[in-house]
Amino acid sequence: MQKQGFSHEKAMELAMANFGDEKEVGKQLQHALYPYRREMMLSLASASLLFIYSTYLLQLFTRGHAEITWLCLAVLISAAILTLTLNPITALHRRLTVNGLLIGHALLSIYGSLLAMDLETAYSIPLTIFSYAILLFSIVLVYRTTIYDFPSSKQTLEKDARRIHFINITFGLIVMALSLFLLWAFLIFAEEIKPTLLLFTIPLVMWAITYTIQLHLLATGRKKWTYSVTALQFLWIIAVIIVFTL
Amino acid sequence: MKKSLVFILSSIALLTAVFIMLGVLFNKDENQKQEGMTDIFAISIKNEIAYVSYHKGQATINLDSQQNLVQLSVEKEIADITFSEDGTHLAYIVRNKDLENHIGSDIHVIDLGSLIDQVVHTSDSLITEMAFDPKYPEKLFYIEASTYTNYSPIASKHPHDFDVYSFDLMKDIHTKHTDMKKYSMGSLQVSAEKNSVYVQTNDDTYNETAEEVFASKERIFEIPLDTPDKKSVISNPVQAEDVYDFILLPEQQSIIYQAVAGTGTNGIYEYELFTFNWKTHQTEQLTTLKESTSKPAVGPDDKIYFMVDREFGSRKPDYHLYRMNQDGSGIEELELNG
Repeated sequence: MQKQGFSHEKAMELAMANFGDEKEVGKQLQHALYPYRREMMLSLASASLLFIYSTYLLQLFTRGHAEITWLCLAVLISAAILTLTLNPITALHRRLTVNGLLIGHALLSIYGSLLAMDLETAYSIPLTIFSYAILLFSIVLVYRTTIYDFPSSKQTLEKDARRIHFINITFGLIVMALSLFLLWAFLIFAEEIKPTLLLFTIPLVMWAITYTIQLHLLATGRKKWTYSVTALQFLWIIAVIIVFTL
Repeated sequence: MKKSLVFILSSIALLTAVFIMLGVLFNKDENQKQEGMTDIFAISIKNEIAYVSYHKGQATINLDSQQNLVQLSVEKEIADITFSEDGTHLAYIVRNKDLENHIGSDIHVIDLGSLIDQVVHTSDSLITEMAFDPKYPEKLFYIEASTYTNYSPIASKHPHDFDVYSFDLMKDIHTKHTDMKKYSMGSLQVSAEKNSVYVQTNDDTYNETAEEVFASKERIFEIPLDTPDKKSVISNPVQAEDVYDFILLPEQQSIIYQAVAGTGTNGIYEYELFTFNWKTHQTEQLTTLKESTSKPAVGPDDKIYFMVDREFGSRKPDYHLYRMNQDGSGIEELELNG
């Protein structure tokens, strides 16, 4: 356009205007880069809101029990997911924030499924199944967010990075489920709540440390070392399971 | 921010605010939630039935002849009721529903003629059951728990360390009869002939190892009051299953008791009534209702009265009073207008 005689600024302005509607382009670009991500996030948020409101109202009117704190927290997180998807603020639209929201959402869904299970059978069965589906959906989105949607610029070995993330998220879920189960089992037989219960967070801390080490090693191109740490991590999880099942 | 997003978010905020307000308005106090029939009932020698039900959390004692004989405040509950031997008085145990913070029990006796209600005994422990002595009508036996604990932080609290006590209403004398500190105890009955009481509790006579404690069974015991250490099992001692609520039929030399008969299709235990003759050692199943039958009692008509929970295992029980002959025939439901 500059060749056509327009000034530099005018040419830029016209080029952008000719490119098409800014909003529409943004949407299409997003869709091309991350197919159905937007739709998936929106479905998660709306399904969750539907679940939260119906469980809350049923608890209130069939049992006279108002779970106000849970309602506020769960609605807040679903609304945050909705907002971040519809209006991605660059500073916040990052892997850490999105995963943080999804994990918070998953934990509140676990509490929600306990509330759903607590209802009369006619309501509890469909709502509990619905809550499990939501939980599963948010876990799938954690995988997606970490592996595909927000690739780290530090990682040059893209395929290996994906593999390491996949293995580590899976281990993380196993470790978390195991810790929660052990905590529950321990509380059943415990006499009182003691600070020693914090010992149950050790596996999670160990998982976080080994995950970080793997990512660091991979970023500096040391593939063999990375996979050695992965193997080591696998071995200690197996060891913990064996020790506790014996 | 886009207009559509602002609209969506404000709708969510508004809806949530409305629901919070509904929550504040309709959230029921824990004390107000109880509703409907309980399994607590008693039959007098005049064949009058007294039973306890809740209305918006208020415990109520009803008689056939008089509804709402007693109505308590929502903070209180009734643990047990029993008629005096001549049927002229009704005793009942009142406790706080909030056992976490206010442990204590009052035994009331109400004169059914004049309707004068008197507190005859106040305890700072938990009284769970009581029974009049048929040999000496002024003597009231009761089971009291000395602790109210849970065995782990996520298990709910229950009364423990049970023992048998009695109270002479005329002489105002209290007696502690046993020193067993049982983990659980129930179904107290006083012998009409012997100086004995009968209770249902765990048989831990030979318990030494943890496995033995775990394998020990719920049994019915006779406790001679002169020598309470010489208690003996009167239910079938070799039978594999646990025995719960029971009644004695001395003339028939048998007991009628509640035990698990099987498991329903939904995986929930079905409790039925059985009879055990301690002379012939014969056991026989009396009911096959496939629900949860409990609390057998003998009426003056020599029939067996018992409760059936048609919603056993679900959140709210649904109790119905039944009656049958001693051989298990002629089962019928009784209409109660509670």
